[in-house]
Amino acid sequence: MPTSALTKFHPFLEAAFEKKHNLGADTLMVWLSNTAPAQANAVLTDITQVSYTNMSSRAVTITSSSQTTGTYSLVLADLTLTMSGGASPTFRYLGVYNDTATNDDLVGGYLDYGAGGVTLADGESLVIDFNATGLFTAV
Amino acid sequence: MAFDKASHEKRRDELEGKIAAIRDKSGPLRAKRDKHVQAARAREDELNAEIAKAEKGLADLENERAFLSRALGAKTV
Repeated sequence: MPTSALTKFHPFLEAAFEKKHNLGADTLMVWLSNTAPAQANAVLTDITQVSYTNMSSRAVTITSSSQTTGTYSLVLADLTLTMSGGASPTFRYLGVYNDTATNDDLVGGYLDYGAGGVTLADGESLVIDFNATGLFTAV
Repeated sequence: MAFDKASHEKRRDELEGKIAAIRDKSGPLRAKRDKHVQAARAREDELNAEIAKAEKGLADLENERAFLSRALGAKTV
């Protein structure tokens, strides 16, 4: 099972502190790409997305958005993407964006499936196993 | 600018006047903005509470679906 550390989007923290995000309540979605993002990317239009035809919902469920003794963490429920009616394009990079934010601002950073990426056949699923301790933490 | 106390006091008074003039202009705009934001946030809070109520238990269902999908051989990342 490929695992990936989160590569941080640099503009994210500024966006968080300038109230572009309410990560406890906003609508979060997953994006997929086969083109390496830049850490300077800030909004969804900076990402070269693949086609999502035949793919199940990319809506992400927030498990918790909270702090403990000053350390904030955003915990997301694992997301299952399933193809129905056709295969997916190949993609390697994935992340989360805020669909509520005016400019669909990117959240946290991105994950890398690894060289070659992944293609899902019709009927096949991909589980995005978000870190149980948080997509990211901020101290 | 001369570096003596009187000059410094004069310049400080000038700055206080300029700053006050700017704040006199921006203050009402800030008050108007804050009133608008507070009203919008109050409505947002109401809707967020309704959404949270409607989605109660959803994270557990998502995690269970993911667990079963993994057991059924799904790819993972």
